[in-house]
Amino acid sequence: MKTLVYLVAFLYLSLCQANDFLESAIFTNTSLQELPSTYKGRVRPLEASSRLWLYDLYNQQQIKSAQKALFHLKTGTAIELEWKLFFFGHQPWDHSPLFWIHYAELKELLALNLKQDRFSYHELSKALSNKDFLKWLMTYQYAKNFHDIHNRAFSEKQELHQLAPRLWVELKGDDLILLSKPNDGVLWRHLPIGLTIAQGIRSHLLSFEKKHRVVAEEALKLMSSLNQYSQNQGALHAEATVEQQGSLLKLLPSRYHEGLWYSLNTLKAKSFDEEKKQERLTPNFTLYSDNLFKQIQTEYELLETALKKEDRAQVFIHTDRLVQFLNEGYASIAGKPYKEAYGKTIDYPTVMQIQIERDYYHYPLTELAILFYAIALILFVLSYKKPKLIKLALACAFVAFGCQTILLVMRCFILQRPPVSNMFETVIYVPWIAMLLGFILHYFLKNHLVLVASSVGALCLLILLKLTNLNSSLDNVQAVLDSQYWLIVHVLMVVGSYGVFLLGGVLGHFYLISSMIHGKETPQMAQNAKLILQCLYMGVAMLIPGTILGGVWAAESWGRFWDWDPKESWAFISSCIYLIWIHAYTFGYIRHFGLSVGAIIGLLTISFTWYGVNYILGTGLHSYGFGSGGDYFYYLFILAELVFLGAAYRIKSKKRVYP
Amino acid sequence: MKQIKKLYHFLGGIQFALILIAASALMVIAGTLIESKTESHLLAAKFSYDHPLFSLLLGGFFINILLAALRRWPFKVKHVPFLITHLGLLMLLAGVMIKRQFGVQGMMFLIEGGASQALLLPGTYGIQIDKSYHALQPSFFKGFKLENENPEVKLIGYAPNASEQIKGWIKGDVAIIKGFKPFKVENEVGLIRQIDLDHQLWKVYTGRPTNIAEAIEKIYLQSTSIKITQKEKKIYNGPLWQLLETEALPAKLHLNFSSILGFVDPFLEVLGEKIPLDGSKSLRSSLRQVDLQNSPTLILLEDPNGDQYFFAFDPYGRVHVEPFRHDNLNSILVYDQGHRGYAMQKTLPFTSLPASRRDCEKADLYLLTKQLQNAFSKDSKLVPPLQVLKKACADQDLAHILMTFLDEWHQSGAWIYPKDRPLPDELHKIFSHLNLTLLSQEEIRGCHWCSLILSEIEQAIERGSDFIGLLEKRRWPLIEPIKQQEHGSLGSKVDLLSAQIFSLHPYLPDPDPTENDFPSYKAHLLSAYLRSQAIYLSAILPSLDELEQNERLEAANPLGVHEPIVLEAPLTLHHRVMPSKSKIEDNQPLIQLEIKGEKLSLVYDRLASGLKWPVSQGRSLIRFQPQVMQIPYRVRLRDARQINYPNSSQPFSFESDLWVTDLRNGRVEAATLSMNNVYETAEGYRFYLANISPPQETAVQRIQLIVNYDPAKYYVTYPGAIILSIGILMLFWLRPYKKEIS
Repeated sequence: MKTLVYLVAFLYLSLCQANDFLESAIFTNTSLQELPSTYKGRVRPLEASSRLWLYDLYNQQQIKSAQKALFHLKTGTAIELEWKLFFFGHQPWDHSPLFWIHYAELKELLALNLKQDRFSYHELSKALSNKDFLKWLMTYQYAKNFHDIHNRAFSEKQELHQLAPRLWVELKGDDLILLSKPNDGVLWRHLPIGLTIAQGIRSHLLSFEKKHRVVAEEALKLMSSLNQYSQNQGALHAEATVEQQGSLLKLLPSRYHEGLWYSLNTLKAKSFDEEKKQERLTPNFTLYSDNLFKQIQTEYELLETALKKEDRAQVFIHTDRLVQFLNEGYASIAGKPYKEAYGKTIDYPTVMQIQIERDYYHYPLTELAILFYAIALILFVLSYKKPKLIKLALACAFVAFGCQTILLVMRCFILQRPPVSNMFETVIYVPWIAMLLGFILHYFLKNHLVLVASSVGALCLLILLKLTNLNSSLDNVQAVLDSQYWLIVHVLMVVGSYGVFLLGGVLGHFYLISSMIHGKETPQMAQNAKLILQCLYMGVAMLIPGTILGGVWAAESWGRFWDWDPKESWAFISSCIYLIWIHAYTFGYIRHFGLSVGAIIGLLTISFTWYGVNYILGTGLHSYGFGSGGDYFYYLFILAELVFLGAAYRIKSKKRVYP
Repeated sequence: MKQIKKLYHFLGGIQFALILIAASALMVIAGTLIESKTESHLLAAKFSYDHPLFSLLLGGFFINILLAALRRWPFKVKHVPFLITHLGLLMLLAGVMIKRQFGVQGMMFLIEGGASQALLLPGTYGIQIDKSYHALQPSFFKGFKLENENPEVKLIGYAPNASEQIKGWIKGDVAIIKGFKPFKVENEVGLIRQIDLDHQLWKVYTGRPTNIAEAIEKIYLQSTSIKITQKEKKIYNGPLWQLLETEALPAKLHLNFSSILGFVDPFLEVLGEKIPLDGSKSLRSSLRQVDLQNSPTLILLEDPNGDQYFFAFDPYGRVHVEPFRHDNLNSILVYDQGHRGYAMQKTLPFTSLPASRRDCEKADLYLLTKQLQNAFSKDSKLVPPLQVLKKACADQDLAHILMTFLDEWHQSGAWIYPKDRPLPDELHKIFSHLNLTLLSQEEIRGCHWCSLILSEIEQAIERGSDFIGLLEKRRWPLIEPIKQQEHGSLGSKVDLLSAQIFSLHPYLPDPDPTENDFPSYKAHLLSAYLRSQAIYLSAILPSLDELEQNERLEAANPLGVHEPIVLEAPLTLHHRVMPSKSKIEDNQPLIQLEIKGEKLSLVYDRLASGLKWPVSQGRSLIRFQPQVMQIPYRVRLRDARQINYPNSSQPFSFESDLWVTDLRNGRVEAATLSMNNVYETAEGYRFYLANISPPQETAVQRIQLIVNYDPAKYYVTYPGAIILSIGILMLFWLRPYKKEIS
C-alpha cells in the first residue's frame, strides 16, 4: 500500500515537477517531527530540539517569513534548517543572518549596524576579531575570574581559559597586560604580547564585572554558538567516526555510554574488522536491534546517495523510511530507565510523552489563550450594554483558561513534576491560579467583576510573557529542586499566593477607578472591597505558611531554617506589608479605600519578590529563575502605579465623600 | 500610674505592632539592597538582620504579642484564633533562639578516603597552637581580642584584609639555596659569585628586573661563545654577542621567553638554520656544525608581582627555566611534619655526562646502530644500495659500517659524499671491495646524474645562488612540485630533486664515462643513491626523538653515572596588607602575635586546610583558623560524585557515600547523602551535603558537609510553625464572618 502511495506521489510529482511541494512534505511530516533526539541533556522530539536549537541562535523558533529567501528554505522551519545544515555543512548559510544579538552595546562593541538584530556568520567572524572588543572581553573575564577564585595570595596572573587555552593576562600596577596567547587561535593572533588590555582597571574590577556581566555573557554565548556552527562540515562532505560526534541531528542512542546520542552521520563511520583485516561500516553501536540498525544504515546510505544526485523523489522516500525505522527503534526503549542516581532514575520519555511534547511546541496555546482572554474582555465590556453577551464572554474566558490548563498539564505530564520551577512556568501558573480563584468566587458570588479582574490579570501577564520572550522550553529541573513533595507544598503555595494577590490587586484597581468615577462608594464597590479582603486573607494564608514551610524544607534539606536570603527576605517583607493592611483594617484605621490601596502596594511588593529579586537584585540562593533585563520597564510600571495611587487619593480627598 | 497604664496599652497595642512590622520590613529592605549592591551577605547582615536594632525589634515583637494577649484577659472563645496564631509565632521565635544557643551548626571538609570528627564553626576566629585553641572575639576597635587572657600569647596587630604569598628562592634582599651562604639580591641583575655544584663551578646571578626576558637574553649573550664549522672549515669562532652585533654572518637569538610558559622552543638562528636550545633536538643542526660554549649558570629572578623564576644554562648553551608562581607550587617538602619547616625543590634537567653536540651525535649514532643491527638481523629485504654495501662488508657488521659512513658523510657537510674526501681506514677497506656493477646500468646512470647535478647546484648555492632560481634557469622540467614546497627546508627540496633525478634515469643520456675506481669515488656514487632514497644521517635521526636527550646519552654511556643536581630553598610567608573589600566575606584578616617574645603574623585560613607553621624553634605548630568542635561521630568519605544529565553539564544529582562511626560504642553505619536526602543519627545530628568539587569524576573529590544539631526542632520550632499556620487560617476565616453575623 505504502509503495503504491509512493508510486502515485512519485508519478504525480514527476509530472507536475512540483519539487518544492515534495521538499516541504519532508519537513511537515509528523513522524519526522516526533523523532526522538537529544538536546541539552533531554530526549525530546526533533521538532522541539530543532526549534530550541534555532531559538538559541536566532531567537525565534522558526525563520521569519521575510527572511526565508535569505536562508533559501522552503518551509522556513527549524527542522528544515537543521536538516539541511546537517547534510550540506555551514557554508551555504554563511551569509544568512542567523545569529541574533540583543544588546545594542554588544553591537556597538563589534562595530555592527545597530538597527539590525541578526547577523551572518561571515559578518560576525570578522567583527569578533575587533581589538577593542577582545580587550573588553578579556577585561570582563579577568574581573569575573578575579572575583570567582578565592585565592589566598591574590595572584595577579590568570589564564582566561574560558576564552582560549594559554591566554594569560596579568594585572600590572593598575593596568591589565596580555602575557601569552594561544598558538592557533584565529581571533587572538593579531594581539601583540604585552598589549595593554585595560588601563587603571584595578579598583574598578568589581563594578566592571557587574556593569558588563549581561552583555559579556551574551558575547561569550555568541562566540561559542559561532564556533559550534563553524564545525558543521556537512554529512555529505565529511567523514564520520564514532568518537567524533556532531552537534546536529542527534538521533542514535549509544549502546555503550548511557545517555549518549550520536549524530545521524555516525551511521557511515568506518571501523577496522580485526578478523577480516579490513575496514567496514561500524556494526551496531545503538540500543536498537541489529536487524533494525542494518536497515537504518542502509536507508541512510541511500538517502545520502539520493541527496548527492539531487533526486528529490528518492530523498523523500528514503527520508520517510529512515524516520520510520528510527521511530520503530525508539519504541523499543521508550519508558525505560537509563541513568541511575541515589534513589532516582532518568527514564526515556514514553512515545506518548514525545508526541505530546511535539504538540506542545507545535500548537500556539499561549497565543490562543491571549486571544480568547482578549475577546472575553471585549465581550465583558460590551455586555454592559447588551447583557446577553455575558454568556459568550464567560465561554471565551473558559476556553482561554482551558488553553492555559492544557499548557500546564502538558508540562506536568512531559516533565513529571509540578509546573513551578522556572520563571516561564510561574508566569503561566500565577494567572492560572488567579483565574481559578476567579471562577470559584464567580460560582459562589455570581459577581462578574471578579472574572473580569482575573481575566485582566491573566491577559496582562500572558502578554508580558510573550513580549519578554521568556524561555518556554521544557528543560531538566535543577538538582536542588528535585523533590516533588517540597516543590508541591512550598512552591505551589507561595507562588499560588501571588495569583491570589494578583486578583486582589486588579480588584483594588477597579475599586479605585470606580471611586474616581463615582466619587462615593456604591454597593457594587462595597462588594468589590469584600472580595479584596477575601483575596488578601487567602493570599496571606498561603504566603506565610508557605514561606514557613519553605523554612522547614531548608532546614530539612540544607540544614538551616532561615538565612535572610533575598527571596526569603522579600517574602518576609511582603508578608509584613500585607499584615500591616490587614491589621489596620481589622482595627479600623483604614476602610475599603485604604484596603484597595493596600492591595495594590502589596501587589507591588509581591512583584518585586517575584521579579525584582531574580532580575534586579540578582543574588542569593533561590537562583533557579535568574535572568536579567526589563528593569527600566519595571521601574516605569512601579512609577505608573504610584502616580495612579496618588491621583486616586487626590480625587478622593477633594471630594471628601469618605470618612 | 496612668502613664504606666498608657504605656502598657501602647506596648500591647496595634499601633506599636504596626510600627514594629513596618520598621522591621524597612530594615530588611535595606539589607537586601546592601546585599545586591555589594554582593556581600555578611555586610548586609551586619547592618540589618544581625544589627542590635533588629534584635530590639524582635524583642519588641515578643513584648507586643505577649501584652496583646494579656490585655485580652480573661480570654474568651473569640480570642482563640488570635491566641493560637501568636503562640505559634512565639514558639517559632523561641525555637530559633534555642537552636542558636544550644544547637550545633558547623562545616566539615572531607577528601575521598579521608575521615574527620572535627567541625569548623564558620564565622569564628581563633589561633590553633598544637592541640590548644585560643578563641578570638571580634572587637570593634582592635579587630580582635583574645577571649581568655594568656601571658604567653599576645595580640599586637591587626589588618582587616591581607594577602599571603609563599616565597621560595628569593626573600627580600637575599636569595637562598640550601647549603650555601645567602646571595645578595638587588634590583639590578648581577653576578653574585660562583658555587661548586657536583665538582663544577656554577655562576649565580640574582636580581629583580622589570623585564625578565631582556635581562635573561643579556646574560646569555654575554656568557656564550660560538663556533661555526661548515664543510670542516671554521667560519666563525668568538663571543656570541659579537657575532650578533658585527653581523658578520646572519644570526639571531630567539629565546622566546614567556613568564607563563617559560622558554617556548628557544632557538639560535644561524645562516637561516635553526639550532634548538632545549628539548630532545637541542643543538642538533643538519647543514653545518654549531657549537656553543657557556659557563654553567644559575639565575634567580623575581618579577614585580613576586613570582620567581629559576633559570639555568648548561656548559653547551642549553637553556632552562622553571617559573615558581606563588599560587602554584608543583611540590613541597615537609620536614618533621612541619616542625622543621617546609621547602621546595628543583632538579636541574641537565645531565652530568658530557653532553656537547658531538657527544649527543655519538650517542645517537650508537643507538641508531643498535636499532639497525636489530632490524638487519631479521631476514629483511634491503634496498639495492644497502645490498651492495652488505656484499662489500662480507662478515663485518653492516649497521656499524653504514652508520660510520653516514656520520663521515654528515661531518663533510656536503649533500653528497665528496669524491675527493679521504675515507677513514675502516671504510676505505670496505669501499675498495664495493662492487657497483652489481647495480643495474640504469641505477648507475641515475647515481651519476644525481652526483653531477647536485654537486653543481651545491657549488652554485655556496656562491650565493638561489635554489629555485637555479632550477628555473636550467629549465628543470619537474620544478612545479619543488616550488609547491614553499615552506619546506632546503634539505627537503634537495631530497625531492634527487628523487626526481633518480626516477628520471631511463630518459637521461649516459653521462661521460669518467670511470674511476677509487673507494672515495665509489662512496660518492653510493651516497648519491642513498640521498635519492632519503637515507642520510639527519633524515633518520628523528626516529630517536621519542627518548629525551638525557635518556639517549645515558643509554649510550652505560658506564657513565648521571648524578642529578638537586637544589632546595626553604619556604617562608610574605604578608601584604590589602584594602578591605566591599564583599567582606572575601577579606582575609591578618593578626600579629607575640608568642613567648617571638613576633609573627598570620593570615586567616578560612577552611583550616593550609599549612601549619612552626613557632618557638619548631616546638609548636600554629594556624589562624575558625574554631573547631569535636563531635561524637567519625565520618569517612568513601566516594563522592556528581551525576550530570546526559550530554550536558547540568547536574542531575550530587551524592556521597559515607561511613559514620559512633565513637561512643564503635558502631559503624553506611550512609548515602544527596541533595534533599540527609543523614540523621539517632541522637539528632544531621549531615547535609553542601558541595562537591571538582565536578570531574577523574579527580579526587572534596566535599563540604554541613553538620547540625537542633534540640528544639521537633518540640518547639516545627510545632510552632504548624500552630501559626492553623492560627492564620482560623483568624481569617472564623472571625470576619462572625463579625458580619454579629
